[in-house]
Amino acid sequence: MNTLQLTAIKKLKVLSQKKSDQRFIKTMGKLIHSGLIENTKYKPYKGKLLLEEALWAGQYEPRITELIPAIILKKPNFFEIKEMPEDLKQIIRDIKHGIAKNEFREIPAEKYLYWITKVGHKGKQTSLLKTYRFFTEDVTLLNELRQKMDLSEIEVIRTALLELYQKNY
Amino acid sequence: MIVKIFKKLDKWAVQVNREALKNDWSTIKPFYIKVLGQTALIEANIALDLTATMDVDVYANYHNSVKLEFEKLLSLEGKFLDQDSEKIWMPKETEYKQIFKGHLLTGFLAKSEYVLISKALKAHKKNQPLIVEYLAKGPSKLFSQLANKHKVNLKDFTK
Repeated sequence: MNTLQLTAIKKLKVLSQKKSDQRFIKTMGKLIHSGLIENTKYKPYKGKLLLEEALWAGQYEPRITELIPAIILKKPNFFEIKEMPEDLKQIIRDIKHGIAKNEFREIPAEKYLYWITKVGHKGKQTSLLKTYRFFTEDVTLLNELRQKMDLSEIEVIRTALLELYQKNY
Repeated sequence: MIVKIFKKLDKWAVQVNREALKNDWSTIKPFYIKVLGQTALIEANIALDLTATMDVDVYANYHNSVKLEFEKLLSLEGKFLDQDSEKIWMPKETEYKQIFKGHLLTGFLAKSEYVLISKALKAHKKNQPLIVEYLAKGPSKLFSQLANKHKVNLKDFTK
């Protein structure tokens, strides 16, 4: 066993103690229960979770900290918030005004901003509403394709758009 | 989870091709999906405390219609495809293990050492707990060689 491994073992011991703290277990469990995080060790938990508990747990798993601003904005009832720390308040204000550039507890802006469109819309990208008028034959074609390809109408349109794009560029 | 999705995706692509052949449309060509990141580590069942968010990183050479279907299947599992997957840095010499061979789709997992070295090099802070645990459990010879080659100072993780 070399020095590097021995130092790592010492560090892991401290880390493991932190990760067996109830604050960490509850935070991981709640995030797993909500489908925001997957973990091979912790069990889902659906009870109450204080924001301060999650912020504490985030020190030992940065993926937690990365998700916090998005959860506050998109799932307002997720945390029980007694008092929001000033740095988080500022980040939330910046996100709302579209000017978030600063790190949040060592998490770069692009990392926590990434989750804003993902949390609360599991697996879905944000979409824009556009309205068009179709002729009857367009609708017939669309329905035919939808049934044949076993896709929704919008998926048929997206596929066709991508095909056209690829052909022309 | 990923093999189940690969099976469904392959089946879907075969069905689409059947219809395409009947109608003289263009068909889906054989394609691959290489799974990277935390998903690759979880799927490889490595003995580490792994935490992953819902995003899945892959390198793939599929047609966009296949990508859409893949996204749909991932979303049924509560996951989504990271649209910036292709930008993820992996060592050029990365080895991939084949985990699925269908009619059109061949699925791979990036070998754990390469995933870990990519994480150590490109997202030090975020992956510090993971790398510490890996180092404590005794890194493989391949990992140590990769760390040397790509100039990853492993001592920085234990500070």
